[in-house]
Amino acid sequence: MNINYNKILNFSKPFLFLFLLAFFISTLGTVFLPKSSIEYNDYNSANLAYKEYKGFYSDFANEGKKGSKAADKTKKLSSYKLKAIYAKEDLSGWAIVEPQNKKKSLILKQNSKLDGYILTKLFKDYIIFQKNNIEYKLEIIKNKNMKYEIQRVDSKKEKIIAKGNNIKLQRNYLNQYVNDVEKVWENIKISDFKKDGKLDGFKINKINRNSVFAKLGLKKGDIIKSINGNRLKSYADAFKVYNNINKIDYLNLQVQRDKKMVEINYEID
Amino acid sequence: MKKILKFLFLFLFFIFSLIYLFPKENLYFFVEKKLQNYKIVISKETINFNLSGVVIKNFDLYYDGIKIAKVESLNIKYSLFDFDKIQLSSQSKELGSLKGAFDLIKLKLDVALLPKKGLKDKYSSLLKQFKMKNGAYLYEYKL
Repeated sequence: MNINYNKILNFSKPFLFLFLLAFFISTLGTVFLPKSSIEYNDYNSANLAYKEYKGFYSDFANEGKKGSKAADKTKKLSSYKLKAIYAKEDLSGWAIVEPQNKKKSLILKQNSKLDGYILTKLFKDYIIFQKNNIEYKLEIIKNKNMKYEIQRVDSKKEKIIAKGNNIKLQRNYLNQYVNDVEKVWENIKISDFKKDGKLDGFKINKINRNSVFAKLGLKKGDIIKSINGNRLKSYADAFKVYNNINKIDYLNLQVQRDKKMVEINYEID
Repeated sequence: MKKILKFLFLFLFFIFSLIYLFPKENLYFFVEKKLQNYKIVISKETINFNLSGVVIKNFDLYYDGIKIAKVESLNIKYSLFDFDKIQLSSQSKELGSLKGAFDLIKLKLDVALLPKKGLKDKYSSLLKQFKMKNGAYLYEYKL
């Protein structure tokens, strides 16, 4: 039997060439295509910075023990307004401070700096800054029309207590809404608010006047810009708050209302 | 005629060689990266490749950082008999079933979602991008 090797070789040549071409293209694919999969990273815990604190004090419930002796020796700071304090027994925590010349509030943690002043101690109704070994005391704003009494939400009838933009609400009452999304959408309509094509908060298009949301200080036309200092730039940012609501004791909402920024503080009891 | 047949045979051989040799896993990672540009992330998946395509099992589907659903399976199939299309089909207890195709010539994706009850209320903003027809949500996207 005569085997014509030349004929077989001539027949195989184009196949061999094409196989090598496919191999070459595949090798290029291996070199240039990504070599690892994409996994979702959950940054939930990092985004709601203040949830670990246990105590919240604001001008809503202002009456407390007077300043310590150490604090009495200090100078007073007049260039800042203290709007809210969130303090623990070891005098750590954080505070909302508004510079007098600016209309934007700053959230300061213990040991953070503000114009060279270091926030060292947080008491129930004042905070202590330190600069060049001198202590400076900043007291919470006292509203003359406001009754200074500590109001507890112990009374089961009082589900929400609102004093200006500081609101206390019972967690059980809040959970009724958190666990029933349909109940939420019956009372409030929210849509995304975009600026230059990018999401820049959530707008309240409709709100039931008798609903819990109206009692929570929200109004039709409000644009919720940030929660606890975290800007709402995606649906994910809003969902992070929703998913963590059971762990949060305090919420600070920055809301754009009639071209002005308004802050609403919530204490969840 | 003989030359045309020979050319066709060689072409098919080349395509088969390419399908066999091409690094499918890397190609899948590339598609995953492209999907990320549309805020879609497939996470914790198990991938099985076969000659006709790929089966992705038990993965979490995220859109814009929000976990949409746990998906039991997503089949992506390619057949030389339907050479211009890549077929998709998916099953999820939370979402419902999804069928679709990607047209390789028109570079167009057509998807039909048969949703589970209650999905409309939960993901109203997402479903706004779909057209409703005969109980199914249709979605078209042209690259």
